[in-house]
Amino acid sequence: MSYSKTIVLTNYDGETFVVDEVVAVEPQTIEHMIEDGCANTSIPLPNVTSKILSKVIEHCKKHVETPNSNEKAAKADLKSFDFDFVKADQGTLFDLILAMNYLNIKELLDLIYQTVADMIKGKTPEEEEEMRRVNAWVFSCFVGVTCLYFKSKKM
Amino acid sequence: METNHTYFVDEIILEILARLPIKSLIRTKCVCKLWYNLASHKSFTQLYNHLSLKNAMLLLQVTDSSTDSTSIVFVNGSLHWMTQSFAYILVLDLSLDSWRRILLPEEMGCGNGSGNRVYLLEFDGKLSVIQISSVWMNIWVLQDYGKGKWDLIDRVSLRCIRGMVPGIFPISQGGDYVFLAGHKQVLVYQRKTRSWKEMYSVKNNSTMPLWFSAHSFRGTIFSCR
Repeated sequence: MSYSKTIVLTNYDGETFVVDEVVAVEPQTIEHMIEDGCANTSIPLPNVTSKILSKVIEHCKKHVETPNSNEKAAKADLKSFDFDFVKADQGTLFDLILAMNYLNIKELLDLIYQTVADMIKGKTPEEEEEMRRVNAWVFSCFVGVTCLYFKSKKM
Repeated sequence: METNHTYFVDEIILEILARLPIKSLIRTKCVCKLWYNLASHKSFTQLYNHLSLKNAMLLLQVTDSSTDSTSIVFVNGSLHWMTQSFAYILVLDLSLDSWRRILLPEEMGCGNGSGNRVYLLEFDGKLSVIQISSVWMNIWVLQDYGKGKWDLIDRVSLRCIRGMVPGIFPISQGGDYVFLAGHKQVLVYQRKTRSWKEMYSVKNNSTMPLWFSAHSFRGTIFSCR
């Protein structure tokens, strides 16, 4: 396996991102493009903005760099990274879903779907205790449902 | 939002709805016809039940006193009781309406006077017995129901919880854990890490012994049609 090989990704705004191949093949869509030999110059990703793409690359890098071991510390580190990763505003989260769905990164999709579901039900287990006191979950629940509603319909 | 012109395909909505707890799902179904239709489809039911397999939850019940301390285990369409003398397990086959007995593992070497306590539980849809001595907890599973073949699946040292051993008894188990209850607390033993944790304990000086039961459960939906 050559670690030195790099892949160029061109996004929606025409910006280019140079990433190591090991990182770039995390998304299945890109892996398939490389396998099919469509990646000789650069890979166009017209559906993804630079803000989202850099976030996706950051996530792929972290997951590639973290050794795939049973080590507790590494696992906990990755978990807290993922936890912070999805702490984004709703717009970013929904853009991420669209990008992930297009790039086909299953692991990250799972995480974000769960995050949106938690927004709809109004709470994550970590927040539950706090939510019991503050009545904010009603609001967060309402916002979650409405945003998803508008995203699911062509107005 | 700069990407307001893009919309989620149904697949995304389905994946999100399938990750809701049942109560929220039913509530969310009422938001619009699209969601209602999506969440009423047969394929959604399959997706939901498949995902919920991964998220087993725990139901813990605490009551003031025990009404019935005999545990009955229902597996293989039959009801199972442990006999008082720990000699054998009594079985009532509900489909054949017939009684029979299942012998306990020979290696257990129990019976009267051995000082061991034996409890009947379920493990992954199979019959299981847990034997508690002063230092060990042995967990047996009836692997072959027809032939009555028992396997020792776990042998756990009770050294870490030595002081509590006389009062504890197992209340529930799964692939990853065993729950045990004393009169004042609930303990969980995690098989993978081989560690003990106190899940619940009575804070006030209640004189009444409490009765605990714990079950793992997962949300499942069925169509009534």
